[in-house]
Amino acid sequence: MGYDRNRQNTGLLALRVESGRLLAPASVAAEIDNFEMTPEGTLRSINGPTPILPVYNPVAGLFNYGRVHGVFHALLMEGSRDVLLVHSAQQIRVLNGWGRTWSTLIGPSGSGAQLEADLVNTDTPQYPTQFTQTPTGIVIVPQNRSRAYFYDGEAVLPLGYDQYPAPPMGYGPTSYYDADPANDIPNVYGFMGSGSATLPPSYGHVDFGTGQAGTIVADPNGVQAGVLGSSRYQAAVQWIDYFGNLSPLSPRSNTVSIDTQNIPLAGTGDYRTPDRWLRAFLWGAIPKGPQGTIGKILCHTKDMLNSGTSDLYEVPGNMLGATSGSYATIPDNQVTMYQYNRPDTDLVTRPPEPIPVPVFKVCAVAFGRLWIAGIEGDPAALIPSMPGRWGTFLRDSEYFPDPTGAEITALCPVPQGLLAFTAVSTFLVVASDDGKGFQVAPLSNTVGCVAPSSIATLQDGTVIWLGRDGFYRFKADAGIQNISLDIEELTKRINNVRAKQACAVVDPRTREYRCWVPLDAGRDNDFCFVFDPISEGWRRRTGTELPVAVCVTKDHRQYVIAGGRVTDNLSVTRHGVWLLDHEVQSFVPKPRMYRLETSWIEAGSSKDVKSGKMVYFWFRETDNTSAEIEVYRDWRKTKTVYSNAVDVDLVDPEDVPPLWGTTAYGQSTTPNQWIKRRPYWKKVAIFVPSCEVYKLVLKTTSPIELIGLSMDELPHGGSGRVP
Amino acid sequence: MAWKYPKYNNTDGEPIDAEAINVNFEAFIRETQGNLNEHNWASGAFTDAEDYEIGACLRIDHSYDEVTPMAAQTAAPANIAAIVSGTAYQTIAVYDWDVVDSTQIICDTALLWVIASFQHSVSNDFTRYGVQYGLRLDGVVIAETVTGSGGRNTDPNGEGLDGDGTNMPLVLDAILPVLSGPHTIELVARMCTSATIALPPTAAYWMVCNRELIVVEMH
Repeated sequence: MGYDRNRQNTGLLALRVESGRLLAPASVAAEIDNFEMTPEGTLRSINGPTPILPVYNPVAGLFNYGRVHGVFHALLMEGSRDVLLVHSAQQIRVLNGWGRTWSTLIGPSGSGAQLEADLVNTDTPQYPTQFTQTPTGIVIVPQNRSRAYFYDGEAVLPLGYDQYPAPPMGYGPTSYYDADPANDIPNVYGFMGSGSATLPPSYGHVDFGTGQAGTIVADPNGVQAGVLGSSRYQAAVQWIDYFGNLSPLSPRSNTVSIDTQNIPLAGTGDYRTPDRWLRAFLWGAIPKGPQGTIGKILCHTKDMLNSGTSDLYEVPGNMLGATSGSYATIPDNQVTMYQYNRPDTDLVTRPPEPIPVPVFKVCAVAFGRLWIAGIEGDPAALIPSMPGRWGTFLRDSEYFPDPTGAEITALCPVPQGLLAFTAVSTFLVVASDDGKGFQVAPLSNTVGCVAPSSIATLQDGTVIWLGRDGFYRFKADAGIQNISLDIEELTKRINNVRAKQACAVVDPRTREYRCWVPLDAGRDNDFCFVFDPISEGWRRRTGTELPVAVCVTKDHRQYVIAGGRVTDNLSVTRHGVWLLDHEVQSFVPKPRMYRLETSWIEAGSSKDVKSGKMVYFWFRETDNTSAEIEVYRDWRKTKTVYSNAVDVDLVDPEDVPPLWGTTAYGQSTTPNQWIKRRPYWKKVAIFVPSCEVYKLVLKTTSPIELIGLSMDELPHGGSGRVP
Repeated sequence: MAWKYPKYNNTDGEPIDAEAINVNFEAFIRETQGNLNEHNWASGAFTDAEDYEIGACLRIDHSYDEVTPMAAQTAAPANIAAIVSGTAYQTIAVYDWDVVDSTQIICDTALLWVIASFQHSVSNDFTRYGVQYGLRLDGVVIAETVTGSGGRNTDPNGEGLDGDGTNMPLVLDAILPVLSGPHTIELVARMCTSATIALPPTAAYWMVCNRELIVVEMH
């Protein structure tokens, strides 16, 4: 037995983070569950969540969402349009606050959706629906091999084009050949064969003017006034949609030809000045584009036999002197014919050559482009869009960061460029030295990212994500670091089959990085790892919510919004969209268990016996209830020293503050003023005689705020019990 | 902006905490000081225009001319001036833009919805010269509002409307952001060149009869 006068105090233990290490400092907890750091540096119990769309109609109850796959908030239209999107069941909806409901943007037939499409509603392991904001709208990427979509706050369409237009059909001028060369009739009509009263048929139809296509050369024999040379032309079509995306070029059309014809000398034969021998063509069967198409760009070759090129050029719009400023040759989606009557010199701009928009899984905006990856059929490819045309991807613009061909699993823009991850490697895409392209630099060949939605950026620019064996961060000056070694015991329990469905967010209010993952055999994201960048350590939050996706509102509110399931106080679990860390009277969530467990105290000197005597809790008053304390000893958590636990008050019984529900308004005899909650100490006698180590567990479902704790111990010198 | 939610749900037994109460109230008070947006107003809350004082939200500048074209558009072109009543606009015989109707407003920074409704009417030469119309803001023709083609390539009669469009009703409109200050809004027209006659059409013109120019100043 030791003397009480030898009692020692551990000093204040301000537990803020936890560790799974057996030998951890006493100032690091073994578990801190459902607490967050306050601006005053204390640990306070978290509250909420609350439904984004509260119950306005008690009969109807909460909105029926169905299984949630993704949620996203953005400000569009120069910040004036406040958009909250949710992908639930087979629909992507947008919140209409003015109607206290959601309207359907994309959904199956009969859903009243702006755009009808069948989205898959499944619980298979998959990424959450990916959303990426661009300067003009939101790219929506449902998983399960779905097309990507684009929403600008008003209109929603598939992202770009996933199909080729059909080629146009060239009509005339045509030639009529005869077995007898003397009867050959070179192409005589610019159009359909009917001339006009004022112009001969060979000039074309009067309604289309005189021709301008063709090549006239001097007669090499010096006999004729000149020769209309043999020429060949082809055309193709490209669509343009409401958002400015370009379709792939159609295959080339049939060849339209002009055959050699002599131009008679003045006063002989069918004499006209040589420029009157030029031709015009009619292009038909110009395909109409799919929904969202607002124009068609006709692409035309120059004279392929005489110009030295068979490239296609955009036929400019016809506004005000044939400037090329118009967005399309045919600025509508109705006209299917076009009368082409251009000299080759009108053709100056080569059309981009996009590929059909592939099915992809992840995307990010960097360098003014949308980068897509996880591409169906080409999983190792990384493809940038044209600048500003978020759904137009050019041919041969792919990058393949990982030489082993591993699938790109995630993308994240950083100040240095764009991080591209596979599950086992990380790369940084930066602008090339000449500024015209990009180059890919490997950052790690062993560390990657398994869940694109686990990536979040701290306020200091540090990027954190979930790798195969824990959480990593990237800082420009420090490279890639594993930051979860202290909780490796926990991270090893992440269900690696479903790790891809992890979702994370950085809460701007607490600065915490929170990542929800499925633990053990969990199918849902039932466990939240919380990284506190201030304390450089981890906490956790559990119970109540099972988010599938989380986001932060882009406006000044900076709310953390989650889509997924939440259990209420009646143990009813609902799918929905929730505001975390807020609580209203109309919805009471299932009470959380706030739990703090110390590490094994005195583990470093566990061969020396000591007795735990007293524990002092430094609380801040929060509720007129109590918390339980459990004490364990000697490395075993199977038997508590206090089997029925000891309660500790969550307000100071010697200075009870005015309380809701009991304080009468206006009475001077009882404390009835608004107060600022005070800190207070609470002493609890524990008696853990002659132990090697001991551990305290503090738990409650009531609001609680903890500043710190300390213990009195009595060391027993030289009393070790090593067998 | 958008919806706000209280941070704390105060329940019985908790201290009557001034901080929690303030946090809950501040969330709403700050919103009402300039952050309300479309989500904060019930659908249809502001659709009854009778509830507004005139000019409270929209200020409308409106001018018009009633010029009735007579029935004799097929009359001899030389007598065209005799077949209209009132003051018809007559396009000038040059290729440059000419003002059909105009108005000047002084406004704050706003969106202007400019609407020009008019009747493209008779010409004294039905076959040779086209005409184009457009809107012009502070001397700049809004290219997107210009009617017809600007290229001769596909139109031997010159660009724009011709005799086939006689008595055609037309409306041009555009929504234009403007900065505070005076602004001149005009409906303009130009005669176009001819494929067969290169000289200015000194004797050829079109007329615009009934016409109306509306400028809606939107705040």
